[in-house]
Amino acid sequence: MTDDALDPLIHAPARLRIVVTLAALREGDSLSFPRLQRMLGLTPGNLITHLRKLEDAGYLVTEKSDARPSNGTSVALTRAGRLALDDYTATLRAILDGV
Amino acid sequence: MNGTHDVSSTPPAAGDDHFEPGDAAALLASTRRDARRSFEQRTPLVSLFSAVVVLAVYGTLWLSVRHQDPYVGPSPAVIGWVYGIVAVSVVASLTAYRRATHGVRGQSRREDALAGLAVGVPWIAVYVFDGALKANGFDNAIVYGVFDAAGPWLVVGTAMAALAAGRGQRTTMVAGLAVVVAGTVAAFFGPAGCWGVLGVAGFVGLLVLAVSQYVRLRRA
Repeated sequence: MTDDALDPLIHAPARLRIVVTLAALREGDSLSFPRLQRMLGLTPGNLITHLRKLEDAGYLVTEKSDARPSNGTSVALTRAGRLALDDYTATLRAILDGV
Repeated sequence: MNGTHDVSSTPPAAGDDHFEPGDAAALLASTRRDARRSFEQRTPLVSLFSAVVVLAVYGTLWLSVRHQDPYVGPSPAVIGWVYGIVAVSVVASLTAYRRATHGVRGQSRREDALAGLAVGVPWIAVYVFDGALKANGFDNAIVYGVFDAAGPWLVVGTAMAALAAGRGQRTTMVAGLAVVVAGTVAAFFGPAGCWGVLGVAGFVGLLVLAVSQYVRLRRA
């Protein structure tokens, strides 16, 4: 198995960190954009770019909070996103095990 | 973000260069560990702090009443000291909780609020009930001794076990039942001994929790 088998949407340092961080939340929970940015240490523009790619693939959803506009956008991993990370992890393990 | 950005206008994403699988595995593991630590509401340090607080509170109460005959209960000065420790402990726990859940929204926050009510209201009810016992002429050994010491353990342990059972959290449910058993057993040690037994039981229980949390975080 080669690197090509890895999901290219997740197989990038910034996006891998985004997906893994959001996967640490319980299913049904979302994380505010400012906290996610602080945890990952990315610039807002860079983070938005990666989030858009993942959102376009259906791996995450973003929502605006009208109730608390100061906190703005929150981000959550979708079921498809969690499954994609599981697949990615299994593929990565297989590559490293030399399967 | 839906509809707020034009994909064609966004700059190319950084970090899309060649990424070795070994590096990816290391990054995945470290990110997962960092995220879990960041979202952890009860850290080993908080549990360790709680263990010391429980020992200090129950130990102080036990020391203040152990030679009383007849039993009259802790003095106002001791009660004031205890309330001070409890207040510091509550503030520390809330600070840790807020830090862990800052920016987190959704189902778990709603469940936490309900769990807080399910545990907090019965806990307060114990002390209100205490007042009713005193008003009805019950002995100090019951009102300011056995019931005051063991009552919170019985109701909080029961609420904790019931909540955990509903969520399918077997370990927490067993811990809740252990709290109930400790409260029940301690009642047999009398109004003064009850405080001492529960102080030791709470200290040991929270110490075990702190160690297990530490081990779990190290393995994550």
